[in-house]
Amino acid sequence: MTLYRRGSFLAIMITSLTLGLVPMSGCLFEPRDAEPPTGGSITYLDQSSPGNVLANLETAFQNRDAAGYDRQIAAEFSYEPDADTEASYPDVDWEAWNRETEIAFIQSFFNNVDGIAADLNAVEIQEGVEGTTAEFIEIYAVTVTESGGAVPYRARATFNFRLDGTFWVLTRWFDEQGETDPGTQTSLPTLGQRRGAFAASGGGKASG
Amino acid sequence: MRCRPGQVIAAALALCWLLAAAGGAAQEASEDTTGTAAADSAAADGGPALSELQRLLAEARAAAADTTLTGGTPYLLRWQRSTKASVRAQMQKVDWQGGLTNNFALRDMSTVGLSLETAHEDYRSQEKLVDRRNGSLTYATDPQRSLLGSLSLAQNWSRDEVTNSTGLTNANERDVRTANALVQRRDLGLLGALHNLDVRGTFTEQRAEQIGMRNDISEGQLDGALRTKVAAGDWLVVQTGLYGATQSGERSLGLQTNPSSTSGDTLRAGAYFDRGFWRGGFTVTSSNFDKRYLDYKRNANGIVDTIGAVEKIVQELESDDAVTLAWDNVVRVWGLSFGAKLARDMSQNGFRASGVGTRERHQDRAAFDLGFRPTRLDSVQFQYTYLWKWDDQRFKGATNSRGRQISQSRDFKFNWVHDLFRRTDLRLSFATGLSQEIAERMFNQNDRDRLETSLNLKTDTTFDNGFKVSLAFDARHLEDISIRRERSANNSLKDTYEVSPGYAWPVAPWLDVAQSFRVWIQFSDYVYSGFEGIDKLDDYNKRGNLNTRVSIKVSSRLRVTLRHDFDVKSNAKKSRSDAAGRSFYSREQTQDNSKVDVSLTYKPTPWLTLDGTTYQSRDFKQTFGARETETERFSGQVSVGGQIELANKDRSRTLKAGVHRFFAHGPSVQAYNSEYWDADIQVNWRF
Repeated sequence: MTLYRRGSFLAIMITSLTLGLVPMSGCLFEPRDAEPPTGGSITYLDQSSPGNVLANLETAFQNRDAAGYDRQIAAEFSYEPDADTEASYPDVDWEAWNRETEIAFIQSFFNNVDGIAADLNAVEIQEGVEGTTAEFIEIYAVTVTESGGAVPYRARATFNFRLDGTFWVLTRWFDEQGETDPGTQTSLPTLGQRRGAFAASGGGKASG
Repeated sequence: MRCRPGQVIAAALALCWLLAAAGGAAQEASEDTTGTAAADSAAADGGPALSELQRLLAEARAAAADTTLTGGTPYLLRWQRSTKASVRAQMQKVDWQGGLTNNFALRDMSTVGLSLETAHEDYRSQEKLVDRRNGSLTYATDPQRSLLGSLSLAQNWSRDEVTNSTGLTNANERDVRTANALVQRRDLGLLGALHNLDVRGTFTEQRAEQIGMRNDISEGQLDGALRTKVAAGDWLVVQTGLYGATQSGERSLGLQTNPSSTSGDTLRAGAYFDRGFWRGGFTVTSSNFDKRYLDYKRNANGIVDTIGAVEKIVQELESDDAVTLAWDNVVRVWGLSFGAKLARDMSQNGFRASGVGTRERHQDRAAFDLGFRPTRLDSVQFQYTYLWKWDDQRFKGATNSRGRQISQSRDFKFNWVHDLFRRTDLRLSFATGLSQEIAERMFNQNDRDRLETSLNLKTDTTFDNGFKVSLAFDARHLEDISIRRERSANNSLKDTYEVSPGYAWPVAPWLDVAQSFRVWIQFSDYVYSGFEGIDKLDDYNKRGNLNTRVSIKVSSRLRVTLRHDFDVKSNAKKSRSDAAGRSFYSREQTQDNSKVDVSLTYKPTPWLTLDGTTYQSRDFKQTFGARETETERFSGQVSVGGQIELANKDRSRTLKAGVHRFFAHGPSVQAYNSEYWDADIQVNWRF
């Protein structure tokens, strides 16, 4: 059905976009006003290298800043657990773990603990960059303070990155295995245990 | 005593049912799983793949219909055997796999499958060994009958051994044996309605060891589903589904053994209409389950927390109740298509022993879309989606809930496609979305809003001689706003612009040339830049890419491809603004990367391909500021190898093999990937 002559519709669409859609985004889509800052800012590095992204993840952990963590991970993010975590949480659908699940987990994790000390490259095993992709293999150490006690995590993990426009983002976090605490020589779990516990207790569900 | 095969199968089926019934039965598997066809069920248990069964049955039916056969139809119509073996040596791991499958088609079109598989993986970059051995025996009746039955017995064994960097070895071993019987009745007409009935019994025996702890399961389950469909009129169909499951047995964790059980049911009812221009439906689903099992003591975050606990292992009771309401409607009239979807999900989940306590969730979703063609050259579509959800939690022992964590999002999309000229389209898309996180009673400081708006314009042209040109423009605006004062110092607005033209030119039948160019810039403005105590400075990031590819087909057997990728980027921080409001930036870093890649493919015979690839790249980086630095790094890789692929006419026997040798140098190359072989060989034989 032809309502308009050829060419006139182009002008109508551009006009309606300008007059209608763009202002509409200003009312229905208006973010709330923020409170002026009292604390110092959290300094994130420019995401111009995969190393900076890893450092930013560490900063987000330490400051329990979900927004900062959110910015570092890619739209196609995936998480793969270690064998111990998979065995501990066999009912969790790890293949379906995506950016949305990770954000829900991080939000819950940061909101429900008292403090986090993180060193995501406690031991650097390999850091390789190939054009627009990169793969870092690191041993990370994270200590979580909760319920008055400290829970340590230490693991060897592979982090994959991708260049997204001008910035690098994390596309995959693969916990290869838990590592031994260098001080006490006890075997420590990976952060996969926390993800597993989050998913097994109903976190990350469609309505959660 | 000799039994006829039918009696053996009936006896096995009855035994399985008895085991399941004696155990009590079932878990909270979704209703849909019982609707799976018998053949699918067998495949999921490690039996023959559905496509293999279909082929086998097609052959069997053809054999049964063969009137030239004398002496009647044989009891065994078809026997198909296949073996497969492969060895792959890759950079990360070396793996061996082998398998043997036997499928039989009997005179009554039932099938029997026997499958054995073994696999071994040896990881190169870490000390990790994985072994797997699977075996299964399945029987399924003719899938074309209205009464279907299947029986499967399976054993899956695996061992995963990982040694960490300090030499400590962790091993996980799991041996699972299952017996599964399924009976399905399809399209049963009763009381004016059409019914589908599924009943399944399963017995599971697991022996597992994880980090030195036993984790054994011995459970039986029984589940059933009844789906009913009534045509209430020419345009209205009412469907109901009732699913029930029960499971019972015992579980051992560490040194403790306790009974385990699950019971659950799901009721689904829906009315679906299709009347002229109006189509849609309404569905309501209610489900619940109770699970009793042994578990470690867990804290409020669900983390195993046994330090100082008197009872390290506890008897857990997990319960869940959920209700979903959904309405879906589409109206198509006068060339307009208007769709609407509304849905509400509510659920409550609780743990008796875990510190997680009880959790309540609520989710509302709405989606509307409108599409039409205002002229024969244009099509437009508008979409709006809205999501509002929250979850609340009352930790074990707490008197009040922690408060709702609310997530809310609104998204609007507009797409327009305009036929500009012959073979030239203009595509415009506009999208804006606001997502909000709100913590009720401020139980955390992560209240935040994120607004993302984008405008994308793209045009493509393909000329008669195959020459293609494209041009794209993209603009994005992102607002990242933390609401609470503890987090708001980092609030920022980001504007990104991208222009990316490109072409692909088939110069001659033997020569293809393609080039693409992309320039991208992002400006970041920090809302509280300059605020007392805030050390944020506005900045920009620029990036440009030029990719060139030339492909030369020297002969019908030889192809050479040349690639050059040039990438340049720089970033700068805002140093000052003048009275006219102009901003001045000082560069912090520039980087350029150039990579030349040559690859060659030679196919001397149809079954043999030889190839070689090499690339060299240069990465040059300059940093500015108080201390200026320059770094220049070179890297490269060479790989040579070939692959063969041999198959007989009906592809019942195939052999694939490949071998490549890699040499690499550069700052990120380690000992294990500086020089290595990548080889694989796969053999398949079906007879």
